[in-house]
Amino acid sequence: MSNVRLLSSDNEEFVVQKEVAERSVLIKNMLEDVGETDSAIPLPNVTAKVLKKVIEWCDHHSSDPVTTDETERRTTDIDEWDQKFMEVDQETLFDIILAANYLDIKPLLDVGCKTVANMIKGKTAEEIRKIFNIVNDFTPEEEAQIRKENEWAEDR
Amino acid sequence: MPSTKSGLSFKHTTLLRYFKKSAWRDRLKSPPLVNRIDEGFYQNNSSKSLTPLLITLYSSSNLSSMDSLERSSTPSNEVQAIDFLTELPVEISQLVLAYCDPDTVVMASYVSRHWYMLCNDTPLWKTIYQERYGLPTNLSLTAFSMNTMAVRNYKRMYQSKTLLEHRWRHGKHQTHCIQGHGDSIYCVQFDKTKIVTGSRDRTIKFWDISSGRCLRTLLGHHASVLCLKYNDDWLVSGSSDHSVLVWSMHTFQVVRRLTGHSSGVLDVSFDQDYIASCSKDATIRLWHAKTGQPLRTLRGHRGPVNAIQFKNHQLVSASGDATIRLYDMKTGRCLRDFVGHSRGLACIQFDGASIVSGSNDNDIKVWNAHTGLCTLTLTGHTGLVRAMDFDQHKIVSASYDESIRVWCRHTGACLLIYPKCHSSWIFDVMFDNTKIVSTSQDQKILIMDFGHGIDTQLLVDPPFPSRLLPPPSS
Repeated sequence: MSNVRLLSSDNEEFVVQKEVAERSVLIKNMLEDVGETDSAIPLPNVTAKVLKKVIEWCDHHSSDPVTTDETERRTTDIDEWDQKFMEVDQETLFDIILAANYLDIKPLLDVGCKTVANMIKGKTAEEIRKIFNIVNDFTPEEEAQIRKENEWAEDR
Repeated sequence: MPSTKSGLSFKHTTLLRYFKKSAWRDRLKSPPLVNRIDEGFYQNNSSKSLTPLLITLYSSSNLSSMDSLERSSTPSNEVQAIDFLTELPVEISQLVLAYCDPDTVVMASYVSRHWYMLCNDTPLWKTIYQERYGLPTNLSLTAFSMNTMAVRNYKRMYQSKTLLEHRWRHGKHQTHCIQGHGDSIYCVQFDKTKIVTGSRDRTIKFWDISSGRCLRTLLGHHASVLCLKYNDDWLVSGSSDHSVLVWSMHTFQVVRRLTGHSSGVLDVSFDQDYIASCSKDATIRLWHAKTGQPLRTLRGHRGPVNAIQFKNHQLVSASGDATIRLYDMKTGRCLRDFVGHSRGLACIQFDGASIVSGSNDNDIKVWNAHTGLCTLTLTGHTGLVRAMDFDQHKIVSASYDESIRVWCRHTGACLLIYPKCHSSWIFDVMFDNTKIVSTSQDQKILIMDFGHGIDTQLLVDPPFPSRLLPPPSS
């Protein structure tokens, strides 16, 4: 089993099993393009802290079958390990999602998005604003307008 | 959970002020946050945006939080509470919303202008719509391609359909009543704009479905009009005068009179090739649709044939002899008998695969046309089941017990009961996705409207599935 060296944006080097690193489609494609190389792969968009988390995730999931199954799109069920993994502050979660997107690790991106979706689910608008620190920038008239648009939902 | 953290954090606002100033500076240095100023969010955010940081100070056992605290002293720092949907690339925000249920998406649209925009995204609602209701039919796709503005309306369509579904589930409808015939009304068919009825008063009447106004009266039969069917071009009616009349839907004149039955014509069915009629004389007659030439007489029933329907050259018949028969119209051969009802049959509907029958034994049965097996028996009516209609999900039945019932086609569960909705025997019933229309011996046309106040223009179910007639021939 060969290893791959990854270089974070803040110049920290990580040595990772090839199989683990290849959970990232971006890295997988790079490796295919450049062939065997001794030099570290630079990942200018990912800090060491986030890369460490991402590698942790890839390592745990290194033997997952690669699925392209889209049927489970709507379910926000997250397996226990991933749930635990995602118990991080918002900033880290945010960075993991961006990194997953950049590194093209679809299952990790999905877990991240599901985690955010679960933070929104079943909450009132005011609760959502508090969670994400958002200011209500609607005028009362606009709010009334939206309420009107959504009468169908409240009628139920 | 971050939610708990930020919720808690508001209790510590006083202590927080220490951290505000430096954070303010840091945030100004951070390019993405400059964008936020442009969006007009920044000023207000700053007053409380740092609250979560304080919490991380206290919960020093939380390593990852300590991490971010350390970073708070570096210029690239961001605050911990993040407006994910605004800060993330839009395609990722859409992915987050794609994982939310429709009610959550609606709630999220109240959060802020930016969220509102994301939550009203067309592809998002297209996905939501299709996951719940499947692809819109060809009919609506044509309408879509003709009107690009309509593409925006997936949300509206979802809303309309969901509300409509809710109303059907809970039986919430408005009732309208039309009176105008001078005697019992035996048969009815309707579409989006009109209702057509046939009566013992020998007339066929057209009614405006929204105003209830009588649009026209057709005179031609010499006795009760017992049955009728129409499409865009033709109307075919059967009468106690033993004849079948074919009317033009353009001139409203009788085009042809089909004679041959030796007793009242109890039901008709037609497409561009065939007209079929059945009679109290125990026969079914097939006629050439274009010329009116008699093609074939199907015999076999030992009692009056009360109802027929055909699809793809297969015809089902229901008789007072308590049997259902399936005929091949091309050969005239009876392919199958369906035995199970204990008394005579009054009505039948056939969609090419399933047969639904109503009987004097008060039961409704669902049959597999290919195997001949009865798959469901719906029990509940306390009188003869005189008429019935069905689509993919529902069966609506009307009975001499003066009630209308709505059933789940798959489980057989009775979903809605409207007892005494007429004051006498109900003779016919039909429904589409918004209405049930029934007619009775009490001389009334009853409209139960589940779609009142809903924009049903874009709703995409075929208007009357089990009775849907083929497109008119050119």
